[in-house]
Amino acid sequence: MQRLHSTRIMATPKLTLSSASAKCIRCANRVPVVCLFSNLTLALFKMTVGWLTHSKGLFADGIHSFCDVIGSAGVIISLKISGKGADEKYPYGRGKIEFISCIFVYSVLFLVAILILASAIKHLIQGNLRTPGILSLFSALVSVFANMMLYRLATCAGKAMNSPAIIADAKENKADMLSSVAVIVGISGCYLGYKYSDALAAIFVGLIIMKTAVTLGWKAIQNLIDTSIPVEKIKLINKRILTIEQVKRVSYIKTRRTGGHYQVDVEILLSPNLSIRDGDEIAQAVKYKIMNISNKISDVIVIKACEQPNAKTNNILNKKAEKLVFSEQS
Amino acid sequence: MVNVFQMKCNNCDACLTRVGWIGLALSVFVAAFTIIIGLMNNSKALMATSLCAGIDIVTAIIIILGLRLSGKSIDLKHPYGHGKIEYLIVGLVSILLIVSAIILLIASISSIYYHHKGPDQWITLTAALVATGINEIKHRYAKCVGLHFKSPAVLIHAEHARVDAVSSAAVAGGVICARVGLHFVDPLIAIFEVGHILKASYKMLLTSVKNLMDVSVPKNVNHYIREIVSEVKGVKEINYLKARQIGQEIWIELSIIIDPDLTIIEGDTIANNTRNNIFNKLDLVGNVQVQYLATAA
Repeated sequence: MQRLHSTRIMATPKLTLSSASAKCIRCANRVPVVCLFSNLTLALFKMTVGWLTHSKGLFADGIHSFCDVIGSAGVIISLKISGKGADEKYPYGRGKIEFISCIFVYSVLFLVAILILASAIKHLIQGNLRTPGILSLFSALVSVFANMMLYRLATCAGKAMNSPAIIADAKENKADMLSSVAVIVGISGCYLGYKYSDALAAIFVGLIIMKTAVTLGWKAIQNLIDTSIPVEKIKLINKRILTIEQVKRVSYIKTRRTGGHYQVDVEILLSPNLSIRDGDEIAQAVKYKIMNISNKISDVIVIKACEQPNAKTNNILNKKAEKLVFSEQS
Repeated sequence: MVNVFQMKCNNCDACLTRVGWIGLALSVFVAAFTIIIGLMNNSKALMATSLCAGIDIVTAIIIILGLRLSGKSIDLKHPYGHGKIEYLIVGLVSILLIVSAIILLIASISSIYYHHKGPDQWITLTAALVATGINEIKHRYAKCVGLHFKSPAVLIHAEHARVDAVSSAAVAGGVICARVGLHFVDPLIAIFEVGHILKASYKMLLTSVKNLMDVSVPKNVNHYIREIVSEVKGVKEINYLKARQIGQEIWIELSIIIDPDLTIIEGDTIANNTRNNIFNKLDLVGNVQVQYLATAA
């Protein structure tokens, strides 16, 4: 489900590296669509078979695949909304809808995981355990193979394109595969006489869903409330800015995410006697330095200022900005 | 209601920290009180009231925690402050409100099927009226605090209390109607009430989502800021103005065009004047970031 944050990059047709062949580019652009539809088919298939053969594990695994589908669908819908871009009503664009849909999806997932756990535990306690039909075992095997193929496809495309987003996609499919393997173990256990093993597999899958929901939901909340990118990256930005000689000091660097991209606000201190025209040129240079760090940075706002020890005492911005300056100023 | 609830006190800051706790205490009281009387008299409507009060307890706890978190000032990890947590709270509470509306709906539909006539309806009536009174007091208090601080989280707390007040008033009305012999009125009122709650919570959910998505401040505020900025000496043109609401405060990002031949120190002075003008003429401004350029980029 890391895809929620990554598909954006794949959806925008920016994959035009010279090193990869045209065939690879076409393949890489197709990977998200292929994954979406195969996961949808797998989810419906596993849920139906799980229901018919009374296999709790397979049913939970079906829901696990369905999570991916909802996640990808959420990304596609929110991309459509955020694709409208910035206007008078939303001056920062609509990218944050992505995080909101994330939180919604993961809250639902969390509840579903609780239901899966509750039902499995209830059956374990009541001892109402039925051995799943043999069809469920084959379905889980199909799921393992399908996910393995998706994994290999995504890894190949990701490595060819050197795209961390597609590699994250591949890892997601690997996790799905492992979850199906757990289901196979659970169902085989039932046939070997351990009647509770299918319910245990369901609990295992439920816990995986819960963990994903909590980690990714928390990440989305962090981004919604405008949390900064990691301090190491800010330090890198700071270092890059200071390679420009005319910049005396960086007074603050503020970052936040809008959708899949970062917005960066920096204030640089220049010589007080410089003209605004020259200052603008330095600011442009700073902007390009920062933009070059990552293609995830969508906008950089460079504020020019100069050192004014006395004049700014009643300036709330600067009082607040003091806390944004880290000790390592070079 | 007596004028006492509209009075302004001198110490509003104390109210902001107090409002959650008062809400919590009153909700616990109402919940306990209505569930006991509801169980004693087998009144479904009162039990629904009590369930809503239970959800109120959750709301109050969320408000207490949320206000504490969103009150934290700016730091390295949160360069834009913690104000947005308030809108997360609003979203969460509005979803809880929808849940309480659904509970009310289920309770009223089930009361159509089982014509429950409590053995002692006067006590139900009294309990419902007491719950109405308490919720109304809570509503007015929270609204006073919320409006003073322009805090969306406290305002939704107030709205929640009002919904509870109306729903317990509906219970009282239903009891009176039942005594006169109009048994179908109670569930009808409740269903009407559900519509009301759903509309209110939908509106609040929308506010929350819009502000989490960095919606611009209303057009008239935007226009007012533009007016303030264009009055400042030295500002030739406004390149762009982005203003959004972060919790209780407005955060403004501004880009102005000034004479290219001025020096940085003169530009700084213009920027500072602009900033101070906005701070002086507009309430609850969190931050103003002014970028000055020679030409629009």
